[in-house]
Amino acid sequence: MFTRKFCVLLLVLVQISATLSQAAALDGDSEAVLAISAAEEVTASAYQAVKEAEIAGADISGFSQLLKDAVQLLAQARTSFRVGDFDSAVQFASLTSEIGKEVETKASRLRELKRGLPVMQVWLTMVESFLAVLAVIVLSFWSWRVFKRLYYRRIRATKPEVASDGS
Amino acid sequence: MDLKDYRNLFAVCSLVLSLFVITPTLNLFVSFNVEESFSELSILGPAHMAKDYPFNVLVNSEESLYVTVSNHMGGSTYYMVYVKFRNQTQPFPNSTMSSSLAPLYEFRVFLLHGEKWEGLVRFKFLEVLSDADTVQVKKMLVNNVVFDMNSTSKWDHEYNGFYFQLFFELWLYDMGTQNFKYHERVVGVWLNITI
Repeated sequence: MFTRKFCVLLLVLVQISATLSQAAALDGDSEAVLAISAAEEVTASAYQAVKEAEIAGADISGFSQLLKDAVQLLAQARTSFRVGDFDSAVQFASLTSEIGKEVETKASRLRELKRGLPVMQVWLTMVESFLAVLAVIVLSFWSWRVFKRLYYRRIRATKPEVASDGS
Repeated sequence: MDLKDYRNLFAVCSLVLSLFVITPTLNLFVSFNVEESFSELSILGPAHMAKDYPFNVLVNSEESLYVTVSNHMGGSTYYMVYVKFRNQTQPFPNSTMSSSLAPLYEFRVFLLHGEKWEGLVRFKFLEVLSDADTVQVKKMLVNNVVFDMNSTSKWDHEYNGFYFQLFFELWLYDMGTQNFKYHERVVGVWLNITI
């Protein structure tokens, strides 16, 4: 009777511990999934901010190394997750998010600094080109007039040749 | 040459000069950049040369090669390299579609225009089962990460060996879809696993 009760108790305990460890594993799994998906989002936003800053004409080489580190860590997080090492996955993903946010902030700041500049540059370039074309036209007319005057003077100065009569 | 010819010459010279000085403004609206944008994916042997690639591989013996990516896309680019493993019958990427096989390992790389990245891939077959005409890879180590797998190759009577392929697919982050897309570049090495 006692042995039977003991066996039942043992079975119940085994079942409970299995359920608990399964739940813990699931927790680790879902925590890693969340951390990785957050890191993916942060990295994508950081990359977008960097691209926008680059398009705006900013020099992004200053923080490109940070983004390189972030994406490398993200790859490590995903590989760790793939082999079931959820703790490392969470660690790598958290680091990725941290660095990614830093990159995004820096890139956005740089983009804002550069934002007003292109409009002014466009206007400046257009005005410069307009003035340059105007200068070319004026110079052409002036030089054409000078050339024409010199040309006529040379024509007038030319003495008519008298053809010799061979006979 | 009479005065009319000189006048035409002056007009043409003025026009050319005007076009020359207006080029910076034209550049703002029309792109004259005809440079082709592309990416390079390649693999090198253990000595950083395009030779001595691993081929006859023993179980538990470490092999290595380098995978390189070069960015000529005209701006910074976010790449991903998938490391995949297959036997002779499993799908290999075609010119537009990636292989449907799950990746073992991945690299993610951010490169500025003109930059080149090189990554070391060290691999070892840890557990391989074999019988007379099949070899089954059960465990593989890639860059110190152990992967459980189940890939079987039959004896190739034509080339005398059990052939597997380790290959690398290049993916690139697309800002439009906000996802990675296959960049239609793949390289790989054939491995003859010897027990």
